[in-house]
Amino acid sequence: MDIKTLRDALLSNHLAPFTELYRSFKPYCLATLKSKHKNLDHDDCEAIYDDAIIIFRDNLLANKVVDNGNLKTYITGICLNVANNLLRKNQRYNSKKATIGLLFETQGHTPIEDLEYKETLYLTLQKGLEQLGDKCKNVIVSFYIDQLSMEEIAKKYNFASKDVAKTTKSRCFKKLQAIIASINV
Amino acid sequence: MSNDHHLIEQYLSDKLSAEEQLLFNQRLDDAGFRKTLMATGVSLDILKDQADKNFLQALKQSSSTELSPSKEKDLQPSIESTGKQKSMWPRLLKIAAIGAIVFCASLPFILPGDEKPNDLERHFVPYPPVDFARGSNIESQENLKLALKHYVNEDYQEALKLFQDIEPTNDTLQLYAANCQMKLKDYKPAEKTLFNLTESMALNIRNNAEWYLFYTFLSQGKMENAKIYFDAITKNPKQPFRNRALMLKEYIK
Repeated sequence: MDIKTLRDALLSNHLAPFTELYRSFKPYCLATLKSKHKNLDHDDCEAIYDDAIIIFRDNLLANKVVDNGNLKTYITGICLNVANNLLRKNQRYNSKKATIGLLFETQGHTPIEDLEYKETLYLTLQKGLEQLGDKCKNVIVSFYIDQLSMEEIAKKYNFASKDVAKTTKSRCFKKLQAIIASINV
Repeated sequence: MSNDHHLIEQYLSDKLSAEEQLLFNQRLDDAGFRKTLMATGVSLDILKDQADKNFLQALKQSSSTELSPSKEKDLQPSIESTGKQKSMWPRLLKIAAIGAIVFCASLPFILPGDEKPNDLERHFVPYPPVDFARGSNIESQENLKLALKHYVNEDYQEALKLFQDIEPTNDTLQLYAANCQMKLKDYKPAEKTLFNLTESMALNIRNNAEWYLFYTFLSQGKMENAKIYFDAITKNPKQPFRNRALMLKEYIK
């Protein structure tokens, strides 16, 4: 299993190589987690492994994974980092909310502390986003989170060209902004 | 798109020009702008969470159902280019020969000896020395034949030295080496070898590696690790060692 094959498979929506990786690395990662962190139960370890797989996938899509020929060690390392709370302190890895919060602080603005507001915001947005269709959701996540290029997005979602993908992305972002405006945050 | 929306879009795409950056920083003074920006960020997080859940669900579903057609091929008998299946007789004779070798290798556990064999040990069947040497591209054919001869004669120390020297990167030879280590009760290096083999390109090697890892942990009383591999094997309907693992369920305490 090499990096390029895995990434190409993800971009072509072929899950089989990733499924095989998920299945075959799981026992080793779980065993390593349990031997290093005896207080973790089986469910904790499974949740950590799932988080690590998502982080690996995100790094793969962002071309951040260096191919040193040992994927199992790499993913096990991510598992251990997650377990050590480097990434898991009730704070999502690569969270946009966290990034924007940090931006506010560095610009000298007080972050929004009202917990009730934060919870209401989250729930209201979650409901509002149901108005976005799957196509828009996929394109928005692929562009703004996974940071795929327009060519890659066009290929992944079978758009006629990268220009069509770009137009769709703009249209979907406008729709997202309209939903946010209508919620009156 | 309003200017605010354009600025937010450019910010999230990391495409703010120098001019736009200045304007963006000025707009950050506006509480309404900050709220819209934060709401957009939270929306992206929500969409990412949903996408991650769907991705994991798809992985788990496909890893617990049938194998993909390309993997199915590994488990099928070979088919000649004419499309007709080979005659079964040579295959049956080969299986019988392997069975005889395996039976001979298991004799110490059947015949009375000085020590009563460990009850678990009777479930350990070393990886059979199939007709491996012929047709392989391993350079040192003579050493390979000698290694297999030591293996069949249960001279595991000698066999191990040869398997490790001949071609250290060959997965099948490494599986034989791990079997030698297990027979010599040298479990730590066996574990290391088998862990590496769980990444083999060959499905057969990976399946065997999982089974032998399960057995190794069970033999050492490492129940937590044994349980992990027990689950991995028994939850995979295509794992050929599934029934054998289920037979050992009572040993997992």
